[in-house]
Amino acid sequence: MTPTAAKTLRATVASVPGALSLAVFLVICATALAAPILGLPDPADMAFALYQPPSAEHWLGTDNFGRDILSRVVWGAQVALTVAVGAALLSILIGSALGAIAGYFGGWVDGLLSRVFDIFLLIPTFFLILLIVALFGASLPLTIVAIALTTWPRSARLMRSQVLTLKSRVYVQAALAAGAPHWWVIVRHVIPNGIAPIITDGTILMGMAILTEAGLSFLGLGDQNLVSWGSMIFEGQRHLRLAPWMSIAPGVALLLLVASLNLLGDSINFAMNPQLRTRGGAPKRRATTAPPAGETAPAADTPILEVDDLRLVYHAGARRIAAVDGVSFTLPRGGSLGIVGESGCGKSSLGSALLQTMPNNAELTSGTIRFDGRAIVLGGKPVVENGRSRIDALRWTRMATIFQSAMNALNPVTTVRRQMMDALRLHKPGISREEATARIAEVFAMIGIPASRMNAYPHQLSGGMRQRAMIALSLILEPELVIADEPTTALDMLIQDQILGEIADLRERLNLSLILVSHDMGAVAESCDVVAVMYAGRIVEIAPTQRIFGNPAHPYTRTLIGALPSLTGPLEELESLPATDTAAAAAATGCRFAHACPAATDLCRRAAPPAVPLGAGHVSECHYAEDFAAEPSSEPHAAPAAAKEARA
Amino acid sequence: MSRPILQLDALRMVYNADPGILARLSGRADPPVIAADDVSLDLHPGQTLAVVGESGSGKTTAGRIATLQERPTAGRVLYEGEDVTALTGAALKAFRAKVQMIFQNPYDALNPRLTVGQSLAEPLTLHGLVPRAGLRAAVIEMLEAVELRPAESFADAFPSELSGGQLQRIAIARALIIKPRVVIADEPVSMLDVSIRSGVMNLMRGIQRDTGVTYLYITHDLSVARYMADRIAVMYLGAVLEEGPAETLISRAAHPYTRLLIQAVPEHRASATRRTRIRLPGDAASQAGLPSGCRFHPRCPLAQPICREKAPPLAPVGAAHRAACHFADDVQTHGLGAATAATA
Repeated sequence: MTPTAAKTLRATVASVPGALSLAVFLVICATALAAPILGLPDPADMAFALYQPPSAEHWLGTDNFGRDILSRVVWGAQVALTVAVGAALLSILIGSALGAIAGYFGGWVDGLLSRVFDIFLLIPTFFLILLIVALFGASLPLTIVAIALTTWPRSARLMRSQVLTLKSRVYVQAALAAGAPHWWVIVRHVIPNGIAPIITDGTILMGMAILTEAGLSFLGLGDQNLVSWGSMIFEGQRHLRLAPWMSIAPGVALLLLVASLNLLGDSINFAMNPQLRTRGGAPKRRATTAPPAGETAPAADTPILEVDDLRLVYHAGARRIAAVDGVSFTLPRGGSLGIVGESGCGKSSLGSALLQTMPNNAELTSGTIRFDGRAIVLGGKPVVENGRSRIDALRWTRMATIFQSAMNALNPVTTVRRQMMDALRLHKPGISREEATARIAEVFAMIGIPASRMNAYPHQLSGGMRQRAMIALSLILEPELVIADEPTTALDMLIQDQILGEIADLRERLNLSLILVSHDMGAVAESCDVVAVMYAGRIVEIAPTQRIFGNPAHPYTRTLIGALPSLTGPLEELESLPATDTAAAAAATGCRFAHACPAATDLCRRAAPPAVPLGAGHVSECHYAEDFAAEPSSEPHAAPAAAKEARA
Repeated sequence: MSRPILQLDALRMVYNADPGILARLSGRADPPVIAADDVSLDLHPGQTLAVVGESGSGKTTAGRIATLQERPTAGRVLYEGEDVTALTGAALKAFRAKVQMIFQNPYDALNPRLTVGQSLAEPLTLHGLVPRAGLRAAVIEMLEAVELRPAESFADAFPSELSGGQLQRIAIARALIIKPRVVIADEPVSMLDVSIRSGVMNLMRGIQRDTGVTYLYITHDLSVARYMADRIAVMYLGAVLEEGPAETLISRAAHPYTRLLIQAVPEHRASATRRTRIRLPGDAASQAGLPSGCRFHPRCPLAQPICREKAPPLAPVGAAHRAACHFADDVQTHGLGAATAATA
């Protein structure tokens, strides 16, 4: 079994409906298979008294011909399952093969096959079967074929849409580029990766097939020589007053089998589709706390943001992963802080904790966040005042965020202007339409979006314009603090540079405070006064920008800087790092970076380093911080050609 | 200079050229998109040519045509002087064994249902290069070559268990395992963390030193291009605007667009000096509806009336250095400062 299949099975069984439905289904299958050896009376033998109610002898009673109903129900299960498995298999086989061909080759092949799918979808199952029965007589194999003939387009369309996305996957492209023929690619790469939802759908198809067969038998169109639940129910309904058990028993069996199949299909789908398993499930009610006593009114020199010993933990099953592990910093009003680190270091988690927009499986275990002198998080708990949490009142109006993916952050079905209008009117109910329009035009002009583009929908804007719109949206309510999480990562170099320029300009003009989160030292270098370098959940070094580039005092910072290719400096071999296993690094007894550090000693592996203050706001968590700070960055500091040029 | 191993000769690639009669009648025809317009590039054996450009510049299209994943509307692809543009069947397969591709997204590069070993063995099986019994040994040897150790455990791992940097190393291994002579690498590090990028770039450079493989390295980052390449070609809206030896192209850039790209690289090491930015008029570059004259003039800070009327040819501006700008000489000597000089 492939690991994915094993994982899916485990996840299916782990849920109550999944385990229950699988158990019911397996019991029915086992009983049906074991029918000949259970010692039941012959289902067709009319050997007993007529219309006997359930008793110790006949658990489910006997019918109008004196046949044992239990035996008939068990043998009937064989017929139901044969139909279900046969029809579903046939339908999936035809459907996924044709669907894969249509999706993979596209063009006229797809056009033609899609029309064929549509035509088959139009054929009503019952009429087709009536026709077949009229022409060839009733038989189980013909019923199975007829059901498959009318259901295969379901699988075909599913497979086609799967293949449409799969064929642009890189590994499919790579196989083609490696010289693989089309049939190879379809069989080895496309179908195995696209079959999962079709199998899920198969269980539902099985339920449908059983119901169709039962319906046919009910109408007397089934094979009269076989025991079918449908014909049993039909017989039973004629004797409903005299012997209700005759129809109840097969009815319940039918219900159980079909319901278990449908439920099983849902459970498998849920287990396989990570999007349905939302991160950590439903939102938990988080404990809150009252505002601390004796808070003084903010003064002019009160920092806009103070963070003290913040700790954030993710719950993943039984595991707890410390993403932010004791982070403290202070951002003065009008200041700017760049937070840099590789993926998984906790920088984005930190950003989401500041705004209290963490996913449901995240929990703050300790820490204080103060905004403009007032606590918004105290001891890891959000502060609630007058029934409203303080952060809710601050978010967007005073503390805004710029997301990485503007395409996902903007509402695709309304214009950008409209979204800004909504934001304004929601937060400033008194504002008149004219004032709002004027304010929107002002922000658009500020961020460099031409007035002609105000009424555009997000998809009509280029990537750069969209990111500008995102920034405009975050600035519309005149916030004091903006938290930007990788605002330029997905953009082209020129646009990136322009957007970073806009952010730096706006910060100066509006006296904004800024937190810029990025994996790229280069991106924060120009926009931020202070840079904090995060590694495995902690800020390992924080310093004014010039110092951190000139005299980096942590070996990790040095590697980060040394890993960037230069455009103007001498060409030299770049430094590189292995990818960090954050959980393992955080669990180390000594320094978190010791496992990858080129200068690690026994001391580093034994004891966690203290925070070493190096003056002028420069702090490094390294045993040898002072030694590192003393020797300047290995790079000579040639002024960039661009800077020289600008001065010339 | 040695004979080029792979040449793109006057490539032209137009998408949506023929929208079909129905779309035309209903007036819903999308305008044709010119993804490549007279693109000529030469790859010399054992060297690296970097193609630099923004999204929509046609750099990826050039790469896809070089591997014959797409066929050009016009123009030729030459491998060792032979026209391979229309190859099919066994000849195409033989070409694929010589010209391989590394893709941008490492997280999607491997079939999630196959082990790393199975994925790496696939090209060998396809080309019948190694007998079945020798596959495992060949895979282990290749994993060692891309510095994934212990190779045995990587061979049995599934892609979901690996990090982005490790996945990209395996993607590189898969491209190199059949010992191609040319590898087209389409932004192989842009989706990786900065700290991981340098490791992958160093690996590619090391392999080139050891095996003499030729790279076409596609990137949007000039500093990466400089680190990787011997020559750089700058593309914009489907055309090559400037091409030359890496160091010369950066130190003596003759096209305003190249100059702007150079300015956009955050040279943080230089004590974070604030740069004055030239605010570009608009940032949307679209291949549908190319501007008249020079294709860069709507965004060019130096644009003059002639730029709107006449498209500049790609003309020599130095040794093996060409640029397509009416004012290439001015730009080369004065940089973008020529803007003020010209208008004053």
